[in-house]
Amino acid sequence: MTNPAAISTEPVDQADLDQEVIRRVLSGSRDAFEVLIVRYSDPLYRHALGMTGSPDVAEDILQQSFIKAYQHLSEVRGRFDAWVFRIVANACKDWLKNIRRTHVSYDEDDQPSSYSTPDEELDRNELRTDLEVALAALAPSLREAFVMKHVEGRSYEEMAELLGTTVGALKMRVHRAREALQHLLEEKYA
Amino acid sequence: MMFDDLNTPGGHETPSGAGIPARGGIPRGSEGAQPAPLADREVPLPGAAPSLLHQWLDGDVSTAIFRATPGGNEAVDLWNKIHDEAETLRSRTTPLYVHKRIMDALPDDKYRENRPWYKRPVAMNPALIALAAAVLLGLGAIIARAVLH
Repeated sequence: MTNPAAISTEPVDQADLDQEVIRRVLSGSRDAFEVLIVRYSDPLYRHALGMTGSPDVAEDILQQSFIKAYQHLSEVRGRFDAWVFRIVANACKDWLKNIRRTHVSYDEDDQPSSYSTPDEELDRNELRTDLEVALAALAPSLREAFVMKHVEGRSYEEMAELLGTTVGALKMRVHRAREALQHLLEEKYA
Repeated sequence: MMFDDLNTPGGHETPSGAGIPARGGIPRGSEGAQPAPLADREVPLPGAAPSLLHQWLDGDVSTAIFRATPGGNEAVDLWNKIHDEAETLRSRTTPLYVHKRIMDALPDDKYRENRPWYKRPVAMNPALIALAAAVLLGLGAIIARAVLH
């Protein structure tokens, strides 16, 4: 699977560019922070969307995370993208652990439909809802691993670097998540 | 149904740290000599080889080989549907208004004191205006006096 999110496969000098932007922000140029928002918001938004299933919640998590990152910007050591990813990832896991959700799904907004026929759209909406329900049944750490692997298309090595854990541990989480999803969905779809 | 989270202690910073990763980019959860959470133990169970499903999904086994196994066809169909759905999600981008919303919500004065004095915005008030006028008047008087003499 390809990896369009590709936070950590950016060229090395991207980290230097980020550091330069951070230096400008810390020396009082608040507007420079927008460069970092534009540069990293899409993969972070997709992670939050995959984790929460709700565009509204994903937007809120993104906003709170960037504000938190701005307020603690002087604490960044190393790569900004990995650092801010962990802020978003933690916010998502906290949300999953704390919230008692009613039904939410990532088709609740007004994104234009890309399906060719109403029947196809209906089928896809049903699958989407079922997939969301199945993902919601996973523990946050399993869902996180599954989303990073199968939605964001990251390699195990990249995931390990971003989450600060081992490749073996992440494989275990992905395998558990796959087996759980397969168990939950195969009766209806396989 | 809820699948148990067997690995709560690892890989996730506590909310008390405001969700901010530890300095140096090392998550706090990975520090120390705590044993690996149960869900993350890498020692395989005796006789439990990685299943063909995982090998296929990880790209280590071809679809043709996996389809030939019992239940392989159904699994391929199911995972193709899941991947199609993942593809849709992967094409999503941040709505543009979110960028502006974040910028508007950033605190204004967090790093202002770090700015050089000549780049800081000047807040005008009546006293400051009167002072500036007096200074300019004084300078004008000095220059006029110098020119006339």
